[in-house]
Amino acid sequence: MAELSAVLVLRDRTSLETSQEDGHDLDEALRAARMRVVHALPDEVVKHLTGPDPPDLLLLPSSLGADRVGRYGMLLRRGNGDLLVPPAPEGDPSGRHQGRHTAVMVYLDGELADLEACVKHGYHYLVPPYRGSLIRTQLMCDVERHRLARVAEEAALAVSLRQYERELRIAQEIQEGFLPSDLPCAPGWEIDVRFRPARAVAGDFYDAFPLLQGRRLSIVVADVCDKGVGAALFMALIRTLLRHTAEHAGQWNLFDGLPPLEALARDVRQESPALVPGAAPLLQAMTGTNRYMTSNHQGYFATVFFGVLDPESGCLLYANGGHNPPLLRRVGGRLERLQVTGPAVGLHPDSEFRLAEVRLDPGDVLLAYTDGVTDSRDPEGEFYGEDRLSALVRGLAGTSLGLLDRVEADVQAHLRDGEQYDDITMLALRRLAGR
Amino acid sequence: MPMIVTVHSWGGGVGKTTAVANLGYLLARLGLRVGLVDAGLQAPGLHLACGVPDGQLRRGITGYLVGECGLDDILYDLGPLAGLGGGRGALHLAPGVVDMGAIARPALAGQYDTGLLHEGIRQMAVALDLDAVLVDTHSGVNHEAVHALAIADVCLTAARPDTRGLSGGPLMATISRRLSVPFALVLFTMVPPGMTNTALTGIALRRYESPMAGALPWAAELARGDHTGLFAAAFPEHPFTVALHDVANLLAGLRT
Ligand SMILES: Nc1ncnc2c1ncn2[C@@H]1O[C@H](COP(=O)(O)OP(=O)(O)O)[C@@H](O)[C@H]1O
Ligand SMILES: [Mg+2]
Repeated sequence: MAELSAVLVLRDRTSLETSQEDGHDLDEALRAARMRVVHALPDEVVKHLTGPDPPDLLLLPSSLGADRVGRYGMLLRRGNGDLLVPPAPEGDPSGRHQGRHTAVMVYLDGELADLEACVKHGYHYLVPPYRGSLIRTQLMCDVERHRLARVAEEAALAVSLRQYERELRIAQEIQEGFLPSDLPCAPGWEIDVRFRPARAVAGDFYDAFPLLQGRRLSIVVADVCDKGVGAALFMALIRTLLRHTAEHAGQWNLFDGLPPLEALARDVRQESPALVPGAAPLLQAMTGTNRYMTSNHQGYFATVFFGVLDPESGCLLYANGGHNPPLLRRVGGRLERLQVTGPAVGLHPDSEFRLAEVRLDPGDVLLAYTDGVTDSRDPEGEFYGEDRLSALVRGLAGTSLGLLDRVEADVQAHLRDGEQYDDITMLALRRLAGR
Repeated sequence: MPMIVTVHSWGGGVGKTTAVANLGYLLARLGLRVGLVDAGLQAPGLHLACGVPDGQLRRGITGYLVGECGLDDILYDLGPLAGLGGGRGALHLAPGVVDMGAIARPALAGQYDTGLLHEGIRQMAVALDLDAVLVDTHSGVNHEAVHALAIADVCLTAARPDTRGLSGGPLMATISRRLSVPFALVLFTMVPPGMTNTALTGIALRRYESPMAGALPWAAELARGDHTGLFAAAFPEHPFTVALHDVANLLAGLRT
């Protein structure tokens, strides 16, 4: 067996010189047990424990009192991970540092009551008469006990980590189920998406689905406040509410004040957008979801861009609930922003969402995105920002897929090695040229 | 864009459908290209007033609204039936169909987008190059009627000058005002002999807050139901036809 080392902590310098003291007997017994013994004073303990060669045994005098003994014990336990165990020297073949452990024992010094108090706190103890063989056996038992405890602890940690990862993976899979498995297509149009959660699960989402027996096509890009699992749960709820309401909306419910008759009234000679197909599903989805959220889940909200496209005419009816304005790139490169038409969904019970309409002509492309794009920061903390995005989009004339690739690459380049803090979601809708 | 005329009433059975069919016919005779739309989904009957028997139609507006068929599948050219000659005048019908499935589903479930009614009318107008579209509605306040009013250039509120007819006045006036219908007019129907136009004009202004478009006299031939098809075509000299002709002229005048 390798030589064991001990740090024998003394009450004070004099205690060893007064030869009949316990410290002296103990010192001899330890040496008889073939241990390397170093003496230390209480305020030198830390230095020994954090040194390059921590001892196998730390012997504390009971006269220190249970509290101070406890503090050293705690220091060692904590040090298990970071504080006390120094990193294994490179190329240390002995593996001695691995599983290195310092046992703590208390020896009787002074009042018996002090020792009792320490024992009560779970410390092993030594009382005279000290005998080398007994000390050694006791010490070996203690070392072994600690090793086992640590193995068990690590195993439990590994199991719970595995379990956590498994559940996160399940959450991820479930969340994927809340995103459309395929994007609907309409002749003459391209739709592409990009979805890059910052963590395993995201609070962002996108959606695209046909409405009115395929006569219209809905697109949604939304960002639920919060991140991680909480946001993911609400993402699932809000996505479901929006889509389900839109798909099952019928006529305006005139008797529910939805919309008030004035919303249907024409504006001078311009007919109200509320009268066109898709207006009812769109507004009912926004208002209904808003009402549900405010009455059942206060404090959770989402910014939502919801558009209903008429693939025939290119008209896009939309409501923008507090979402950063999607960019509409006209065929020549001019940019338009589809501004906010109402507050975020879930903020106020009586929020009103106006409808707006815009027409996509052949070659025009719409980019809806979440603020994860513009809020991406480089390692110096500088935002990617709307200006950079606008400038990039203005210069991009290709396909919707190409557009997403370029934007994503540009954001990645901006991030460099920086961490992606927020979910990144983009949806590009392009009307093919020559249609 | 064509002029959209929505004919509506508070009470049922006031002669609204009869008025729509014959007004359309008279406008076509004036040389207008006219579309008739049966938006009375709950109980369509415009085709009957036009002389098209029930069994002749397979598909109607409800089929279009719920996405079972396109507009092309339902449009019906009434030209030959109405005996319209070679001029510009034309009369086309987007009919309802008397079929349990076709009516019950959308009417009861309300599972269609009323905006499609609007879109359908616009598409029909473009496809047929229409000058005017007359929309027949179901009486009372209902989704199709409110939508048809919201897109109307002219709202003709049909009413009998009786207690029931007058009771709906204020509500109908409020709805067309709140929907900002540019022209809201009252069309009195089944007017009993002895009621003067002056008296009726006064009632229109008081109860409906609107001018009167015309007053159609009670017609025993219509009440008896012993004739089918376009009444105005069969009885061109009948006082009913004459009164409706004035309304047609009025509408044709509003267009310009
Ligand atoms: N001016 C009139 N005089 C007498 N009967 C009429 C008149 N106008 C319509 N009718 C008859 O009244 C009934 C209901 O007419 P209809 O046009 O279907 O009314 P609505 O569409 O308002 O329900 C029909 O039998 C019709 O022939
Ligand atoms: Mg009728």
